[in-house]
Amino acid sequence: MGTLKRPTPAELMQFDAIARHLRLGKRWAGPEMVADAVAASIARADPILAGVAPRGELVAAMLASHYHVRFEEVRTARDIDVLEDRYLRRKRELGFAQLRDELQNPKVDALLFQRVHAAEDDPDRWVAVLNLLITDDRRYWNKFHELSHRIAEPPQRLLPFRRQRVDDRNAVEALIDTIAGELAFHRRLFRPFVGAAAGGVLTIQAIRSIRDAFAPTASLLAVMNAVVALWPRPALAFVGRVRGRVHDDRVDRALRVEMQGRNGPARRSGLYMIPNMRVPKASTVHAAAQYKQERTEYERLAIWDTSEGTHLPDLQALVSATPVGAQVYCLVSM
Amino acid sequence: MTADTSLRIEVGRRIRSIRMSKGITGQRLAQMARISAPYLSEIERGLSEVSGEKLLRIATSLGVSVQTLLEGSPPEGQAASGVTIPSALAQAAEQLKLSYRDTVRLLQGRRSLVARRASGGQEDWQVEDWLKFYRKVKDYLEG
Repeated sequence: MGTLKRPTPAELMQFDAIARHLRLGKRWAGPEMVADAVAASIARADPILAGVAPRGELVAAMLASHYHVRFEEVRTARDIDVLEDRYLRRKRELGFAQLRDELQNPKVDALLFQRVHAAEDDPDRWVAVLNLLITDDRRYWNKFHELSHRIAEPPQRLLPFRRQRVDDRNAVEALIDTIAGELAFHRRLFRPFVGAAAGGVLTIQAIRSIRDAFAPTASLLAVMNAVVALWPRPALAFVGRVRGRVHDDRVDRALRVEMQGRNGPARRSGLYMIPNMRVPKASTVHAAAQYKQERTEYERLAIWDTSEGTHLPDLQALVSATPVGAQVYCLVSM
Repeated sequence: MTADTSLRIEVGRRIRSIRMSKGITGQRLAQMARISAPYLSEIERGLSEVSGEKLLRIATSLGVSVQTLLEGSPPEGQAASGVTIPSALAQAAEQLKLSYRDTVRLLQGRRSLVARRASGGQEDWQVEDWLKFYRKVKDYLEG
């Protein structure tokens, strides 16, 4: 947390609005304000969540109700018909005429509408449409992302028309993602689940158990990252993906490391992975990918080396990996 | 008095007020905005509708945003730079001979999609996009 992409002038205006809305100051002071923005967002959510049972989906439902956000999940073309009928035809919300084209773009995960004809207290004053036509994977995460927009940003007035462009390159979105990560796995509610599991070892199966108990609709990857962050011993998470790398004028395709997260104890103990490094054939991770099987084994990390001959420290670590589509989700812990 | 008429009168008053505060004659503003002086007079008195394109030309000539003409001055401390009718929409509105009310409603509709989470960016809409959008929503512009 604390590193944000360089904002554009338009994004700076959004940051200023966030700073004012969260009462952090008149102007956005830069990356050092990220932690304050996250803390202020959590502080706004906390009173709403007083007494809530520790379940991620309930957290989302309570926040959605408080902030007048209705989630609409689209899995079929028929679902789009229903939403067009509900909002465009019946409620005269013209924005929903964009729905079909937007959702048919597989790159679009979610859309947030601020209804023009809604009253202040309408439960669907904001409508967040989740695009699940291809996969449910980001359903849980995207709910918190949209809720984080509502918590951290001032409601848009009808006519200053400040439209946000939302994509992975947007600095404001990176901040909203950070807030969403904290809300989706709210530490006060989530930490006990990690604490209960920490008596054992960190495996993919342990992650599944935590997910089932806290937020069954969350993706395995989101839970992995959240657990690693709170795990009391050294741990890191990465995704293995077959990717090319230019090497001596040729493209070297191999299963490579795409880092997800590393916790504080891992930093202090020297447990790390090198981004984009090749997964060695002797590793448990490679076996999981090759045999399409979940695998958990201890291995010495010195077998991991780069094309330049650099080795990882010779640490004995528990490696747990599971294939997910064309990728492998991996945990390394000590 | 309908909401439309009320808005038209308000916009006319604002145009006249800003024009006079800047010491611009009606004749001069009409020239700058490429409309006739009698037509500008009717607009200022709330007697004639004005298209999005012409409103944009008037706003530009006065050095203010369309939002300022539609809504009045922004509250103190709030950026005044927020809003103009995009030129592609203004061109589409001109082609369709839309009133400024309907032009604004199109813009409201478009921008009611306040956030879009996607792995790729999005191009600004061109005239064709606005025309397509209008065809989809024209039956629902009223009410």
